[in-house]
Amino acid sequence: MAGRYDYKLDRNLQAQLLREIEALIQQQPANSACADCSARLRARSAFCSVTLGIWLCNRCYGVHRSLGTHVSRTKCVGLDAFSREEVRFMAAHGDARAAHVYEAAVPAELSRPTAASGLAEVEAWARAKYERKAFCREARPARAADGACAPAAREAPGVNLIDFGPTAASAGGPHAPSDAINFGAPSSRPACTPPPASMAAATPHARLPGSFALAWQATAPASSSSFTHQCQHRNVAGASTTGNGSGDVVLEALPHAGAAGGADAQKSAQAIADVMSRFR
Amino acid sequence: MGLIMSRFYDKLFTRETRVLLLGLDGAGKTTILYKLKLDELVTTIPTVGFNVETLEYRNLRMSVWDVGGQDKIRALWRHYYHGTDALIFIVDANDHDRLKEARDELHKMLADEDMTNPVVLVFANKMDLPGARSASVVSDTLALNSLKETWYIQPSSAARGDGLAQGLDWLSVQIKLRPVKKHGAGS
Repeated sequence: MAGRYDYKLDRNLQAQLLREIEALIQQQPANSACADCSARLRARSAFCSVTLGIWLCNRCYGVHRSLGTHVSRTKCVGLDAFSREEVRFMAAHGDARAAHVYEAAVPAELSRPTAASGLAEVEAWARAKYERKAFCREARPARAADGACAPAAREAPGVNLIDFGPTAASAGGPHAPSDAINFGAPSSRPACTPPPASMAAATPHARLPGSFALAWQATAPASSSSFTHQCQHRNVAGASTTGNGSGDVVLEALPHAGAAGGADAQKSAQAIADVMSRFR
Repeated sequence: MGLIMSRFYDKLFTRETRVLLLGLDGAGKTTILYKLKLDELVTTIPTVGFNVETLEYRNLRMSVWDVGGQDKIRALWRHYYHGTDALIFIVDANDHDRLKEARDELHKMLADEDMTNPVVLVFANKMDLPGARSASVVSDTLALNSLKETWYIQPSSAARGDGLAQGLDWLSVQIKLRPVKKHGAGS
């Protein structure tokens, strides 16, 4: 190891990259707030995910660490050494672009966590948003590092661009014959009219009808149940740390929490769990 | 009577052990420390500086030092080496890209002259994650076979609490086998 160049030990490079990072946070308004809870960030005490290209606050950084590096690889500005590529990636992405991808289809009844939200709520949110990619439009990003749903859409073969209609989609599934034109019930769109290819290419988040949506949902069940389970588990953990009582009681009480009022954080976490259960 | 005697014996011979908990950032050091201490899963913030807790396990009383692992604060690790009886090195088995970096850090710290032949327990942590490498792969990548210290690798999952007790079991046996170290000032 001795004598070999290590960018982490290159003080000039690290000082320069640190200045670039601070400029990134300060100059772009979207980047000076946490990507998950919108807490204000200061350039000297910010955190980021170098695979998702987002800036985070201290608390959400902790949440992202618990997701695992296959979902989000995190770094502290000032405490971790960055590589040139990582800084370039952060500059090319940032909070605004990530929100465009990962919050493209947030259900109306869900609200983003705020700086005042509880840990359980933020964790449920982050797991839904990045681990399950539940709020992306139809297509799941092939790789988080690509930072966009675009690759999956591009990889989607022509079959995805043909409207199968509801019945065929449920019967044929993702492997329906590719020469299929328009099965099933009368569709609002004329038969055999794929969405303009130019549109699909230019706007990666264009809605892909039928089979593709189903293909994604078909992958969901196995993991979504474990997600809900995790949500509940986190609620239990949150309750036990704050001493609100045993987990089972909290879980039983949750459906009625709306009527009873209070426990906002738990309601929100539960709301996310509810939405997730629809993906089964 | 035998029970009383054995309790008395254990009390008398409880060993004070200095344990250092190290590893790359985000490997799970603080999570493991508080899992062992409180049996609770905490969501941690980065450790800037250190956490120290006293743990009692079997007839070991361990002062466990958990030092932050971010790139720029790893330089501080060496200040904690002196008088270390046991090193618990934690590796994120799911973080394939940084296993080699972990290997370099481990070998670098064991080469330090202040590290006087500690027993080395490696936790291949985060085994609950789908992409986690097996303990044997982690062991090979870390080149544990080339260590002159006594070592042991234990797959673990701090999130589930798996493997931690087995690791400490091994550690307590090893500590008991060793002669008492004379700790200098500063330990």
